[in-house]
Amino acid sequence: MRRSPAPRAIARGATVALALVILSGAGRTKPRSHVVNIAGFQFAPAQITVAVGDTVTWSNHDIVPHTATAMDGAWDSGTLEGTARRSVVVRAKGKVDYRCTLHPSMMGTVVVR
Amino acid sequence: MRFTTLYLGLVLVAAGACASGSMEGSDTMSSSKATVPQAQQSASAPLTDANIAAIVVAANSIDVENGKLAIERATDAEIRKFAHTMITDHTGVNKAAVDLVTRLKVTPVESPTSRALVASANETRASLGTRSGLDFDRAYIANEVTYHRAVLSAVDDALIPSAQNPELRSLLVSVRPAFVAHLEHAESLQQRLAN
Repeated sequence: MRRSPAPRAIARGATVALALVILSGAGRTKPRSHVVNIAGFQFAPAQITVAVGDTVTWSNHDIVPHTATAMDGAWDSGTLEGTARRSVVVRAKGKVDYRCTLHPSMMGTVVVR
Repeated sequence: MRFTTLYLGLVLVAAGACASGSMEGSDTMSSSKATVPQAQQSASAPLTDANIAAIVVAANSIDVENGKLAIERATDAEIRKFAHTMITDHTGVNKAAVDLVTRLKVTPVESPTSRALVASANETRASLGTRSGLDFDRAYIANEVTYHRAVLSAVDDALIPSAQNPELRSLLVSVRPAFVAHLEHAESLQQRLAN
């Protein structure tokens, strides 16, 4: 009596399915959105940790304009007038310190993993 | 130094609040009080919300005008950029203050303090107007350091404690970080120009 081929076929099918999942990207973590509030001349939170592809949005709640400008030049929110929001998609791993160019004592950090 | 005496109006607002309150240890102010007895007398009068509104508007307008002068005369790019920020920020604070007191139906009322503040600021600008080049840049930023220190002292020791309306007090608290950031920025520029 021959043994049933079912277990081997099931394993092969599972491998193909897994490969398809990987190729389609369905197993990848979906990019997330993060908000940094600007209030009282502070970035809150002052440091955030994000993944490559995530979006960081700075939201100004002060009555004066601010910027969120990477000190290495990687990105710049531009001038955020009162109540304005601006988003940046982070593209590279690393630690990026940033500041408000209008008020240099305001500093923050984005850690990209 | 000339510029350290020009914002005594604001400092004396704070001194007046200390004198009228229960705070002790005012000996450190005695020499200043002795030099401007009239200002001291007026500053010790209780501040109403209408007086506070007038002081806030005067204080912000002064730095807007100083900023405009700096944009005309300053040679250092960072000083000019700082002046632009002062104009933008203090205009914004003034708009918020005017919007609030309008909504509260509070009409700003000038006091001897606000008038002395404007008079001394005019004197400062006249002096700044005679300077040029690096001499102007250094004098302007030295005055900004003195001015913001005096404003912070007045906000902390007189304006916030005296404000009766909670929304006016809340506005003063919310704009305080602006003066701190401006002071730190001015001190940083002053240090750079000294080197």
